[in-house]
Amino acid sequence: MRVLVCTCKGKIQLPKKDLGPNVILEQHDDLCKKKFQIKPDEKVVIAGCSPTVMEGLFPHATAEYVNLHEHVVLPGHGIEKAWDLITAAVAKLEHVTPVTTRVFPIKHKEVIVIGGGIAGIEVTSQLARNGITVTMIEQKPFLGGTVAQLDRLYPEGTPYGHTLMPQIGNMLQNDTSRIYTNAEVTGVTGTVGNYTVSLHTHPRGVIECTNCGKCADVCPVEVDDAGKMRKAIYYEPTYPDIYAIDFDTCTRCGECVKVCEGKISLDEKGIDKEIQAGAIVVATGLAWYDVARVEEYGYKRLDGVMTTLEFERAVTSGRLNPKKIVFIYCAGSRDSKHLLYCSKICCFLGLKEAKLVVDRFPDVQVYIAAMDMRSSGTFEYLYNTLRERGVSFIKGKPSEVFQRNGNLVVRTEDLYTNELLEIEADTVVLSSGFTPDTQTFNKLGVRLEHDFPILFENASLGNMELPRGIFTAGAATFPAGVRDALIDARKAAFSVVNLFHQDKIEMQQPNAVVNEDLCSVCRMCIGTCPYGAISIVEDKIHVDETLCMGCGICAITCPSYASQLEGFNPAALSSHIRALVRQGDILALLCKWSAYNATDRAAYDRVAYPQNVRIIRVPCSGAVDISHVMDALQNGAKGVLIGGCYPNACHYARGNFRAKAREQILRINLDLLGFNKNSVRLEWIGKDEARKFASIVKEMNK
Amino acid sequence: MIDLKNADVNFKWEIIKHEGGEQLLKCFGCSDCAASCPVRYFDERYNPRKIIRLTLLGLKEQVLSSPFLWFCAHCHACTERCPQGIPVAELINAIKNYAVENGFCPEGYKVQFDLLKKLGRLYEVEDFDLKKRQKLGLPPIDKTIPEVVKILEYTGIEKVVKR
Repeated sequence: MRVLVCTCKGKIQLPKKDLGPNVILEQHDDLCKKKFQIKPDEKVVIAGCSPTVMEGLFPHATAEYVNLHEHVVLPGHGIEKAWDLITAAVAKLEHVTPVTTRVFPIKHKEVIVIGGGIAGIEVTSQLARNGITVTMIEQKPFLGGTVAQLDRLYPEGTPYGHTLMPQIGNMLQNDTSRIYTNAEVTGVTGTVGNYTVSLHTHPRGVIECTNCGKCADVCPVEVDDAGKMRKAIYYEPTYPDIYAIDFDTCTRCGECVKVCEGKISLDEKGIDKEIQAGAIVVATGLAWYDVARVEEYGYKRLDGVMTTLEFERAVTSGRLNPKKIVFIYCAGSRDSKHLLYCSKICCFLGLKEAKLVVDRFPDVQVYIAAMDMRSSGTFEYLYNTLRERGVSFIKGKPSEVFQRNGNLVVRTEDLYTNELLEIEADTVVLSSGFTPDTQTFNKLGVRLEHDFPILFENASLGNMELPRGIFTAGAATFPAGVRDALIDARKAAFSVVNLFHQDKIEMQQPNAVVNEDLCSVCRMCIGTCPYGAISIVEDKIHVDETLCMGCGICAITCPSYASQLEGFNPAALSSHIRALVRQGDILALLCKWSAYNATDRAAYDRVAYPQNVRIIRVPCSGAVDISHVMDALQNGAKGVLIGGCYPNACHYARGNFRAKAREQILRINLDLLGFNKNSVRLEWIGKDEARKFASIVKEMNK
Repeated sequence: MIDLKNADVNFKWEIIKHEGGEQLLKCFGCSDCAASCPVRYFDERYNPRKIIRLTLLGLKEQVLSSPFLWFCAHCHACTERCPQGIPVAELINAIKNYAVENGFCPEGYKVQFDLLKKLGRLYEVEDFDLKKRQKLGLPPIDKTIPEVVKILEYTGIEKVVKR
């Protein structure tokens, strides 16, 4: 083990003491300006400036960084503190397993795009423009997704074709893309750079087609396709220009085969295929929430109650001629029994439908019952226009829809006047929320929280990339309108291009490793992993190397110390604490992403804190066990501070919530063992909150 | 006009401590409870949303002294539909309990309590009633039920009601 110490321009002069066997102490002036040959599996203590700086200069994974500049020199603490910090770091490194370098070659520089909606089309054309071969997999017989189902797009009311058709044209200009329609992903294996996707193509029925349309004329089966009527053999004006048979409703009567100018086969078989790719883009779009579950609104039970999509398709195809319409907003959204979140775009969609209907039928009476109208941004203009066009807005969530004298009645309270209100109408439109296509994410092994890919909602994770080879685009990330979906698609395309600029990915990041001799397969780590990286393969715990982010929470949770993080494990942290903490000290276990940086900031801003505060850098506030607090208290510590990121800002998605949950148990245990249960504090400390950190430790020092 | 000068900011926190009132702060005022309420359908002066709003604003006097607080029929239609999952009927119950504890018991309840304490019955049985029962061929009933009186004593409800 080597210990590299910077003298910090002569301010640090360590005594010539022995650090133990096999430990070489080297003192250098201006450590940061020198280059060292460090073997990949060598353990090194680097003592100098803050780890935030030194990690960049000495990117060595199995290193323990000692912060002499910010923790000793700048606060004006004594030289003995520097010696304590270095000996403790040496004690820790003795118990640490070295970090192995993992290499993922990018074998296939090809992409699979799942979903042929507006986002998938945009990703494909952007990637094709960069010379990357793309395979697009679309579940339906025609491209276009949700956009192709609509008639107009908000806010201007542009016909959908004006946006969709040029996009498809752009995509088809490049012949590097293969498109599979009527296809479905059945399984995915592999890691970044080397995925194998197996897909199943369902039969289309129509093999050669001149687009004459005679088959649809003779087809006896009428199908209600979300409000619009069509035949069992049908065509949508997007892509490809070939009719398709909907085999779910087809009766196989054979009428179409007789009149066909091309070739129709009713007993075509599906094809299974395997495709290899380096990256996968999930553009599966949105699914409409099933409003039949909101029983009080009577969808599917009462005639005339319909969803927004059905309403739009029925009105624009001329099937519906409404006189009096009530829109019910937030049907199954922001509701503890249904979708907990706001789907963001349904308010706009409802406004668009109202505009569509007042444009078409001047005499129609429109009521919009919304508990909150969320017309953010320029949609306020649409909201204003509709009020001027005579649409009545009612504030309040309707309680139920029922039938009286052949009419639908919506019962609500008008919050503006505080009076009960019953509106009789012939049509009730339920504006439902959206969910993503969870099936595909499950097949890819992407962990979802609140139905959405977990990394999305966490702003501190920034880049919004899913585990290293899987990207989301469009409404699969979160419900989005066309404009947002296109922006998101370009983001995904850019991420793929970025990835393919490299021939291999080298990761020197610590990963969790499981010692199979100690593991009892209790499965506690599976539940605690924020990334879903741990699973059971052949009755053994298996850690997916590409999913593990190195938070160390599993290592702390494991009751038999079988799971360990490379470069960090409970035993190492224990010996670090035992070597560092003395009688009357305060131990601060600080998250390296937030609270630890606050101590650096304290040094720069000259915010003083007592010298007996012993600071240890941990990967996450969730990676601190009860036993570590006990270690410190047994050594005579006055108090223990665990500092983490603010709620919902954790770098490891949910680590600080694990810490919060553990705090409760910790207090009970401390009480039982005769320690003061208030000697432990869990605090959220931001990156620059030096004063908060200082005031907490000063308070604890009293 | 609502005058917040006399508002008691601790009122909502005290209600939360009562059983059934824990979820009070989840309310975002969508008025689904008020629109579902069958009592409100007959008397619009009763409004569960208004009770919750006034509680959240801390208008203690106004909430507790209001006779409408006691209109709730406990049908739980509001509980069923509340999008925030607040058990609204339980919440109203919690406010009622708080009102009684703080000496806001309605007179009707006090009279009922006195009858129960005296007779063990909510309805006084007189000789006239017994005669009528005899005529109809029904067996006679006791004028008092001492067990009920005893149970009442054990519960210690007197201390609360007579406050």
